[in-house]
Amino acid sequence: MLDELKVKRRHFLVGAAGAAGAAALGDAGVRAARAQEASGLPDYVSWKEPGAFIQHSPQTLETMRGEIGLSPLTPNDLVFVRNNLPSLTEEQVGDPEAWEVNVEGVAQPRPITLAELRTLGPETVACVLQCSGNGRGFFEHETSGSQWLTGAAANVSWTGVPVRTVVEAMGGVDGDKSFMTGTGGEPIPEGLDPLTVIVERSVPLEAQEVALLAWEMNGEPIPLAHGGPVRLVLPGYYGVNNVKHLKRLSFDETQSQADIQRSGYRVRPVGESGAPDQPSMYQMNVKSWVTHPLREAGTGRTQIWGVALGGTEDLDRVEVSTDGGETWEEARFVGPDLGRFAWRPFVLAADLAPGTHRIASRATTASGAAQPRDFEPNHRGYGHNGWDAHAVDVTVQ
Amino acid sequence: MPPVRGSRRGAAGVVASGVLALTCAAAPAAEDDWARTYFLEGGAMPACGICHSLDAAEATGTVGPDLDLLEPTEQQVYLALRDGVGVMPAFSEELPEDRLRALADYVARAVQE
Ligand code: HEC
Repeated sequence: MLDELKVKRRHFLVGAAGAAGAAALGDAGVRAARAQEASGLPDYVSWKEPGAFIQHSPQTLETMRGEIGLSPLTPNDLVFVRNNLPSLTEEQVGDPEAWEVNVEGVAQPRPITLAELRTLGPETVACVLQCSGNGRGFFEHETSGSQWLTGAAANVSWTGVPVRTVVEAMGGVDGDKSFMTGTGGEPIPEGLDPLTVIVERSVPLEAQEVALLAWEMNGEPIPLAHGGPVRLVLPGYYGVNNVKHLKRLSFDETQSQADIQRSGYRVRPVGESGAPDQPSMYQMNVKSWVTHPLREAGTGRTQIWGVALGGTEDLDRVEVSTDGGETWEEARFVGPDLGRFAWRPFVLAADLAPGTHRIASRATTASGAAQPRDFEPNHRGYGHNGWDAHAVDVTVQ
Repeated sequence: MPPVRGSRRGAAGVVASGVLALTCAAAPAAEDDWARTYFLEGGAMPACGICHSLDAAEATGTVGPDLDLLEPTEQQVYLALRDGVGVMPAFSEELPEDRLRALADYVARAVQE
């Protein structure tokens, strides 16, 4: 059984590296398919669109590649789910307006309720929410954890108050600080050293310039599965830094000692353990992928769709290839530009002859950063933006 | 009879455990005893059972996924133990390779019962 899975995985990665869909991805696909057969969606996300997700585990739901369309924002019921700890329940949260965030490391540190946050000047920002491991399933080496393909990403409009406004209201950052730390409010079971499991992430202080204490997601109160009542939103930063159920926001001289910061989410060569001196999964890189068609297309004119993000930068262009990267043609962005942290849907019209076409997309930012053909493997399978692995093989009858 | 089978409940379980005994006769009972104990008690590292539910070990942790629902393959368990996942720590510094394999084997069979 084990060997069979391994062979399958190898076979697919060598033979059809683009992977037409989850089901074609050996190990990951087999796992996902089994998980999904077993039941519908878990209770805490039962409001999500049934049939739109690959369930890797009860805490990890991947949006199917073809579910992402040309609308610039991803509706809440299609947004992927990835919880490091079980989501809080309504009972645990109590009255959301009374939810408190303890702000520390400022001149006048104090708790602030959601009700009071609402009285400070709100802002709305659109940004990509993407798990560090999005694309992990495309790596050839074996990795633990969910074998995400493209669907641990969404484009979301968040409303809340800028962190700098909160900090200003509390007299500014107190002294010389290098990090901003967010701590999640999930309870830690007895018998565990809290540092083992607590979701606490420190990011460079400059992140406060763009950070938001958010309470609304695409115009609705942030669902608990997505970190309500208050979530730290860090445009341009990978999902893990966007701490859910935010209980504490502090400004510090040093990084958190929690395992998720010290050894988790560290980029290192395959075979090495995580350590604080390795790069942390902070800012996202430039990336794009095709969302339609994925397997088959009719003869004649086909509209090829996809989405592209610049990470932290504006996009300059997206090119699409229908011959596996031999030749490229510039695609057209569709819909409004929601800013440098958001993704942009794109379209290219192509006349595809009968046969199999390898369709790839490649995004380039304003400063010229472009997706590589291949992405250097790293132990935990983070940050994959290689265009070749994200390509799809489409058959035209 | 190894505890993993002894703790089964219900008639369906009896049938399933019969099948298991036939198909998985290769795993010595002592290995399973060790794995079940380690699952529940841990060592220097926290016990699996603090964070996970697993009927066969009568473990009821809720930090990580319920392993009976997740039904991981042996390789999936092994990789989780070797490298850690999310907030789950890696166990490769505490346990040698053969213990990681024994645990993975135990869990993968226990969830199929
Ligand atoms: C400190 C809590 C904790 C301990 C101790 C722990 N786990 Fe986990 N485990 C987790 C969490 C949390 C996840 C979910 C990780 C994720 O997807 O973010 C997980 C995930 C897993 C998975 C699924 C991996 C996958 O591919 O998705 C397996 C299998 C597993 N654990 C087995 C074990 C075993 C066996 C032990 C004991 C040797 C153990 N765990 C100890 C917290 C823990």
